[in-house]
Amino acid sequence: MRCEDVFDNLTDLLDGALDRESEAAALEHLATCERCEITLAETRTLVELAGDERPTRLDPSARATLLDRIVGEVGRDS
Amino acid sequence: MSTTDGDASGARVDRVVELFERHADSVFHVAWRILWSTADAEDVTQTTFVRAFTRLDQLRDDGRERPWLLQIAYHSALDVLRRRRDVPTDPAELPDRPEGDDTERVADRRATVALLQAAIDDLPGALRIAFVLRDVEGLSTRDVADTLGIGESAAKMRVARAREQLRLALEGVLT
Ligand SMILES: [Zn+2]
Repeated sequence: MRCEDVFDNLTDLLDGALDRESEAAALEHLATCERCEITLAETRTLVELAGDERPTRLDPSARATLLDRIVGEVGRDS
Repeated sequence: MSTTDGDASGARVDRVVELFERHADSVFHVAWRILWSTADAEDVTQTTFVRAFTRLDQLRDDGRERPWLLQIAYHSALDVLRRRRDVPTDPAELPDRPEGDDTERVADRRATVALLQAAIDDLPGALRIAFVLRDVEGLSTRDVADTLGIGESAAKMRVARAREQLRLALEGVLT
C-alpha cells in the first residue's frame, strides 16, 4: 500500500472494518511510514476524544418537564 | 388507535417512557447540533417521542431503536429549520453556529475537547451530523446511514471527510 491507499482506508482501519489482507498491508505500510503513522494516531485520538465529548445533555428539570408533556400528549391520544 | 384496550395503550405509553429514559439525551443532542437552540431542541425532543408513540408499530427490532428515534429526531429538526427559514432544507445547508468563539491552543485534555467542540461546530452541516452520530453518539456506519436516509458508502465517506477536516483543524493538538 502507498500513503494515499492507507489514507483512503484510514476510517475503515480504525473501525476494524478492513478485510484481513488490506489490514495487513496497511499495517505493513504504517510500520515504515512515520507520516501515515502520525495521521492514524491523530485520527484515533480524535475519535476517542469525540466519544468523551457529550457537551449537550438535557438539563434534568427540562428532562422531567418534557417527559410529563410527552406522557400527557400521548396519554390523551391513546 | 384503540380506546377500548386500556392495558395495551398503557403498555405503549410505558414503552415511550422507557425509550425516553434511554435515548432522550441522544435525541436532544442531535436536534441541538442541527438547531443550535436549547428551546428548539427541547421542542424537537418532545415531538420526536410523541411521533415515536404514534409509530411504535414500525419498531420491530429492539436493537434498532436508537437509529429509529434519531431518524425521527433528525427529520423533526429539519422540519423546524424549514419553518424557521421557509426554504427547502438540504443537510448540506444546515446553519453554521451563530456565535464563534476563538479558543486558545492549550494541550490539556479539557481544552482539547473544547477545541474539538468548536471544530465540530465549524464543520459543514452534512459532515457535522454524520460525525456526531458516528463518533460522538457511537452509532455504527449502517445506523448513521439509516438515520440520515443515505447509503452506507455515502455515510462512510461523510464520516471519513469529517474526521479528516477535524484532524487538520486540531493539528498539533492531538498528539
Ligand atoms: Zn505513508
